[in-house]
Amino acid sequence: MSTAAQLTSLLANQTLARLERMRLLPLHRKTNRSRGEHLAGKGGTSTEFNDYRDYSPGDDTRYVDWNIFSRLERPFIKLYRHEEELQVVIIVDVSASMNFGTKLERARGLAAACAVMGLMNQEKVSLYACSALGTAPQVLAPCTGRLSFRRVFEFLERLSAAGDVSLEGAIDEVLKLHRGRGLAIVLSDFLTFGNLERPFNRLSGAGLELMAIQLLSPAELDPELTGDVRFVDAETGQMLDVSAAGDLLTIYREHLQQLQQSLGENCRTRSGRFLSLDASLPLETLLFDTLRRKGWLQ
Amino acid sequence: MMSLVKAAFVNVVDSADLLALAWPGVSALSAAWLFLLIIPLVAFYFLKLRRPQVALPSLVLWRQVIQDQRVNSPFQRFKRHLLLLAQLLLLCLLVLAAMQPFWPSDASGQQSIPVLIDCSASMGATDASGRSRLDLAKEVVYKLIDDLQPGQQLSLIAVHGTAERLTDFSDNPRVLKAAVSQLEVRHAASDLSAGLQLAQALARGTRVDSVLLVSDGNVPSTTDFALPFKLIYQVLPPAVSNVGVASLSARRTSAGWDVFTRLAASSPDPTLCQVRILANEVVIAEEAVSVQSSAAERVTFRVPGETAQSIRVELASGTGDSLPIDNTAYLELPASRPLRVACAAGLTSVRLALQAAGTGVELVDGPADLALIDTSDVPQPARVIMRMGVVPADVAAWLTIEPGAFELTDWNRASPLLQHVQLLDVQFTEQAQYQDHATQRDLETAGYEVLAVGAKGPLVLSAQIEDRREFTLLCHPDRSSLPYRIGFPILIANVLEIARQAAGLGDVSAVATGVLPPWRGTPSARYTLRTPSGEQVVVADERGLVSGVQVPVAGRYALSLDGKPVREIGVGLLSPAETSLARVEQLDLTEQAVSATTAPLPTDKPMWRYLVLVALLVLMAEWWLFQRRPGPLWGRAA
Repeated sequence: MSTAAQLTSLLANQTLARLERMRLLPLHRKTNRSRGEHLAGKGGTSTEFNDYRDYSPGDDTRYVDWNIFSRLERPFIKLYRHEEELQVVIIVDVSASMNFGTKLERARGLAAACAVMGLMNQEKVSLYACSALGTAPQVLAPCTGRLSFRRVFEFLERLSAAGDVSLEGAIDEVLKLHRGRGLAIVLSDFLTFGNLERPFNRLSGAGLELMAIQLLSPAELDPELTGDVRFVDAETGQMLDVSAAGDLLTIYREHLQQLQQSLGENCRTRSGRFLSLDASLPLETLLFDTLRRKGWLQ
Repeated sequence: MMSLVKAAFVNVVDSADLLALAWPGVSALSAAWLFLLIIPLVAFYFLKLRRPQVALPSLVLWRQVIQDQRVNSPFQRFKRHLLLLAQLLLLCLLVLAAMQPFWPSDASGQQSIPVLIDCSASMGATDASGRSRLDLAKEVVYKLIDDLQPGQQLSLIAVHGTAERLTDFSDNPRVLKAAVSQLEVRHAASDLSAGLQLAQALARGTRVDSVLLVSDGNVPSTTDFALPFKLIYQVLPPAVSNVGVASLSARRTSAGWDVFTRLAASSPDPTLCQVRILANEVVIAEEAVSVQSSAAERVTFRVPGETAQSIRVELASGTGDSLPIDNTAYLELPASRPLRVACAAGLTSVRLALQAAGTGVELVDGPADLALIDTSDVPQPARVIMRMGVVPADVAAWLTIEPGAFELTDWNRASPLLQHVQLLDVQFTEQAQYQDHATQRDLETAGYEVLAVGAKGPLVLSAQIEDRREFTLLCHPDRSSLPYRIGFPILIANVLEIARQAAGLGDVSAVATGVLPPWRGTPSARYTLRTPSGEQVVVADERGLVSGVQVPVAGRYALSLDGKPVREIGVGLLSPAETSLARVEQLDLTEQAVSATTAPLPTDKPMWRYLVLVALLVLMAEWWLFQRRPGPLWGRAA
């Protein structure tokens, strides 16, 4: 039996096939409502019927197809091409700190999976990869449909981790280039000296629902250290001498937990979501088990 | 430094109990300069603190950890420098060990200590584990050597039949231990006074405060010795019970010999033994006996006397015999013959008395066992000589025999010659008188013992000259009423019995270890003596007398001349005291009594070993805690 060639090194064919039948589940569908709300008032605008989709709480009931409802006893929403598009903005942190363990590999895999789900559900997907401070991010322009798979995969496969970009700076650069409401998926380790409240505010203010995924390797989640060590920051090159590091691990874990709680609180207060994942777990486990159980996918 | 601390403490607290505290001492205070090594140790620690580099994605979290106030608590600061503190502790322990601290005891300060080690026969007794008392004594002395402090010396003295100095005062453990390891059990009873006298002689050259005696307790309970030092009398744990042959003797009878052997035991409980008697290597009797310490068991048997007999008594016990060297005894019985007596013709009354003595006496003219003479010189050799009516030549200048009534003052009734002899109503018509202001002391200085004395001079003299016994009756019996008294035949019978004993024709006793009785052989002959432990040459003097032959080991000794056997003698321990393993709890010395102690000897306890052991544990803990390589998060930084 011959083995089919992998479409991409980021996702196994089986995983890809499964993702094509799944979709992202934002808490609030932040579509481009301005158009939807002014449909009747605009003349000359083509509102082409595109497809049906399941009714989600908050959808405008004017667009429910009652004929189908009478037959199937389930509500469906008529999709119109311009009105119902969801912008999916995937921001991938490719700074030097992501170059440890399998963090970058997982970030690329998760970005590819989210892009596939968005493209398969006729959503506009755009990708931004941020590395060095002061430089423009690498951008994949918004694209839709299945035909955009190859472009997405090639874009993500080319990514490598280097640079010392902070997350604030990365988000600022992205918002300079992006227009539209939707969903912002941020894939990073969130180990930054800066304050993330302002960039989160900016994302929320731009109409983007934040789905923040923190990727940490096992050595960051539960380090094993003893004795006197000299730590070197991979991004900045700064050094820090620590004595009896083994005795400080409990305090380290407490601070890590505080960071995660802080990030989660920041996201929740801005109607977003935060999740910290172990980058050593298989991608399939993260997608079909963890994210699905958390209600991020369906 | 310790004395200064102690003095300061005493001044602060005035308490009699605190004054009695024993403070640890230090033998090598000069080693304290090693504490200066702390300075380079601390310097090197901070200069060369090794920190392996570990790359991290970000220092965000670790900076927060370092700034956490809990990290900067004093306890955390202490933990950060735990390696330095462990190294300082290790250095301090090693320097303290180099200063050789010790916990002082009563023996502290004593520099020269003589050690008397009992090596008598009873020290060969074993316990249930098979270890002899001498093995235990060696262990005690080994420990004493190991606990020697700098400046302390030991002199080792072995005490057995005599005292033998093994080493001079020495602090060399190798020399001392080598001397101890060569100690062997001697087949002799212990002579404690000889050991104490030797220790006293050593004390003349150096200051000695106390002397240590290590023994199983089987020593004379009373010793005539005035202690000029303290005696520490340590007894060892007792051995298991013992049985042995305590004595062996024979008495001549008309039918031959009656042999008597006495068995002794150390246990009050009856011990069943088997006694076997061999004559000329042929078993002539075997008997089962029960022996206990409260009652010595006597075994008697009869041996014919026509020929010489070599008797050996062997004792075997199924249980309770911890000392094997006392299980065998030997006795040489000569062939029976009449006593050969040479009597001067002028001693008519004596001749008549000899004829009345009955069988067993043979009058001869040549060499005899007993010579009864009336001249100063000795015409023929004899074991016993009795002069009558003449003054011996070597005291002729001090005594003359003058006619006149002799007034007897006193006589030695316990003397073998004069026992049962009544002299009070005997009349003598001549008497010996002192000349030139001579006195009895002059006779005694010449080796004579005065057995009967009168107002102006002696009557009966006795002397041991070489191997013969000489008696002198200064008044001729024919010029006295002595032959008509009942005492005269008794006197003759006594001298005959003395001669029989000297000739080995009367009572015979087994020879014990020590020195062989003198024996007359070929003049100037070189005899070969085969001993249980080898061979040696023994030379007779010009008169043929062989004397002073040491027989320290129980067993058979054989004399031979030019390869031909001359004589064989068996030697046994024959010491009731050593066989009984009796334990003396208190030594009665002159004006002093010393009690035995079983407690470990008070010695200064060196502490350096414990400090080194603790230092080793600290080193192992330091290695385990700090020498593990830190596990990197992702690897080493380039």
